[in-house]
Formats: sequence, structure tokens, C-alpha cells
Amino acid sequence: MKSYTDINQSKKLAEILPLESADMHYATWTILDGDFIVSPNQGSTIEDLQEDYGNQIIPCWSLAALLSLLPKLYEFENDPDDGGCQPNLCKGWDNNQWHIVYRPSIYITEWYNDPIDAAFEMVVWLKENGKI
Amino acid sequence: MVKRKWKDMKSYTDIEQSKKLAEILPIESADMYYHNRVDIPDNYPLPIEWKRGLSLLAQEIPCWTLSPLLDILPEINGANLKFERVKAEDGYNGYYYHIEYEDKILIPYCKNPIDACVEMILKLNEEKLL
Repeated sequence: MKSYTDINQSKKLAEILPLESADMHYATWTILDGDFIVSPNQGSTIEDLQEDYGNQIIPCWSLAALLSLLPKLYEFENDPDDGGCQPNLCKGWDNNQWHIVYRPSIYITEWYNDPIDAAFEMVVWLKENGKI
Repeated sequence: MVKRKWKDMKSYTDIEQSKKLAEILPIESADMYYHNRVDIPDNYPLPIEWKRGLSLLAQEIPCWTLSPLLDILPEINGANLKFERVKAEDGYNGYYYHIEYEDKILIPYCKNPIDACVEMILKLNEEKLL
């Protein structure tokens, strides 16, 4: 199970989201067991880390951080009677996979083994459609 | 120059939650751990590391991010498992997190997803459903 976005997802999110929304970072100057080290952003600032390590810092998002980006959405944005809907992360017991749904008429992600992949797809869709 | 802070949020279980979960969950299910070395002064935050499949020393405390916590939630009579992020309407300027098994097993609304998941795991353990 993935605890945080992989390196390709992280690079994509770094292009479209504020870096301040990340709660972890890849330190690409160090490799352990074939992977870059990932550390929680405990107390540091983006500028402090960039001053020390420059472009070797790649921000990274845990599932908790990605979920915190999902807004309440309105299907009909000009309709005052539309109460809007909340994002739901759901598990399918038949396939043992996860997806995220608002209303089916708004957007549903594909099913994924890792909930973080569903959250990644939803965040990218929201950003690319001007919802966040 | 204004320095930008990283997101200030709860990304993994705190020490009290971690200790409680360590009593009821397999240690292998944790993906992080707190160092609990003797040379860390009192009131200083314990350093945290990824577990990377390692076994832990007795003084180290296992710790969970959200993904492995969700992975622990079992199927219960086929009820749909739903994890919801809800805009607060009670004056709190933020969102609540809520988990339910189709209105059959509910937890209180929590201000962050880690707390919601821990609440559900503790409740399932109490009801011997883990």
C-alpha cells in the first residue's frame, strides 16, 4: 500500500498545486533501498529546504493531504437550491479496490488498489476543471 | 522574503494513538515508527522514520499514516465502507471527516482523517469486529 504519491505523481502535482499543500518531500540526493528518501515536512519551510537542496526537493502528498484538498462541489453552480455534495472515498468489497465519487453526474474516479491513486486522479481532475 | 510553510496537518498517528493501536494491531501493518531514544530531551518531539519492513526495537513506537489505517478496516457483512469529507456547518471554519459502514457503524465527526480512522478502528476493536 502506498503511503504517499509516487515520484511521477508528485512531479505532476508540483506543477499544478501550491507547494504549501504538500505534507512530505522527496530528498532526491539520497537513495535508500533503490528509492529516494521521503520525509514529513516537520517544521521546515519550502525556502529553507530549497536553499539547502535546490531542485533536489520534490514535494510529496500523503493520502491525508490529498483528501484535505477535496472541496464540496455543486452540480449546478448557479442553482441556489443545489445543496452540493461531498467527496466520498469508497471501498468495493467485490474488487477490494477504492474510488472517489462526488455525484456520478459530476465525477467518479476509476477503481484503484491504492486509495492514494484514486485521490490523485480526483485532485488532477478538480484542478484541470477549475474546481480547486 | 516571506517563507512559505509546508502544510501544517496531521499526516500520521500521534504518539498516544500509536501506543493504543500498537496494542491491538499487528506491528507489521504500521508504515512508520517513532524513535524513542534515551538521548532525546523531555518535551522534544520524537523523530519519525519510515519502517520499510524493518522489525522495531522495544523502545520504538509503530506509527500509521492514513493509507495503512484504511487498509485495516475490514469488510463487515458486505456493508459499504464510506469515508466522507464534509464541509462544517456548525461555525467551525473547515471540514469534518467521517467514516461509516452504511449507517450501521458510525463514528463521531473528526477534524482530520487520521483521527477519524483511529476512532473507527478503536470502535471496531471494542465491538470485536476487527
